[in-house]
Amino acid sequence: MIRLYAVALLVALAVAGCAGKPEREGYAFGCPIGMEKKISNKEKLLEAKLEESGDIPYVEVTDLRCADSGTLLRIEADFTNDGKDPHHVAYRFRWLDKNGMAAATEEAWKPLMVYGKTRQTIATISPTPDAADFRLMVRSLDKP
Amino acid sequence: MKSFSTARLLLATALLGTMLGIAGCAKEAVRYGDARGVETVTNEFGSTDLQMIAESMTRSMLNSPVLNATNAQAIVTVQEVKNKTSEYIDTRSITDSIRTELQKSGKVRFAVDSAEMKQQIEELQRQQSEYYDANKSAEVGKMVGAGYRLEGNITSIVKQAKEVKDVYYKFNLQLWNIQNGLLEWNDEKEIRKTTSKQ
Repeated sequence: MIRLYAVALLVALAVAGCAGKPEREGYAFGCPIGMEKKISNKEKLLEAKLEESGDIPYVEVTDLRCADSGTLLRIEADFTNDGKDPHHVAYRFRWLDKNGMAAATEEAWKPLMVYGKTRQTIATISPTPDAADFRLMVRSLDKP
Repeated sequence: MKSFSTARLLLATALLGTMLGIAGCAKEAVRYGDARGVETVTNEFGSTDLQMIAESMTRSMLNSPVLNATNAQAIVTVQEVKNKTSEYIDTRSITDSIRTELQKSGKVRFAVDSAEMKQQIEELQRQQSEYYDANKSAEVGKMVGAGYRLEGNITSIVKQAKEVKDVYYKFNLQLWNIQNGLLEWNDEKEIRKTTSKQ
């Protein structure tokens, strides 16, 4: 019986350790959720933040990470290419203030080449302290 | 003789008609494009390169400890970005874009730089004339000196084979402390563009 309690205690401690610090209100997985309701999982977070234009063969955004950097937001996004050849996409961020309005002028589209069967991480920082939320816009640059 | 001239006249008329016909067929289409779109017309330095460099440098500098150490806005003056490439690049346009983005962030203020100094002095001197209300004129000796200076350079390596042309750009920007001469921040952006015949 004592052994059972000990195992249960260890499992509970391990789960607590994995959970880490509680999320800040209005954030999910370290990412601002803006006007959205609580985002319960990574798929829903990507769904809320990602705006894909048209078909993007082989390349997809597989993860988003965010952190506060003083007054600015730091964002990282993972682009994964499932194909065997390199593929090209263009991306840009749209920054929104706490009211959901544009917090900065539109960014330029940035080209990105992702080698086949690899994952590439891009990183950025919000241009102004007014930015409280963001959208990641992605489109393909490969010719059909 | 007369028939020969008539033949030449007919030929000239036919040629003119053909040229007019071709000119009429070649219609020009003008439309507005996306100023922030990815431009790949040639592999020379283009608008997308300028925008990527300006954005990358600005975001990196905004994240630097020197701009986040205090709540006070850093006062910066823009110096020359040297063009060490083999092509013409308006580097002032790059620093203007960087300055615009930094100014919008609210973390930096810019002092008049050497390129703008002549106009600044002229305006200041003009306001000292008898035509201006002395109480509302800008005073001499009140200009604010910058704490930091921004300078950099852009270099390129161009390689060309039979059917491939590869251009590599490297843009380096530095923020120097004017008081103590320390390099407070430094970053670079690399761009590779390859053109191949298909």
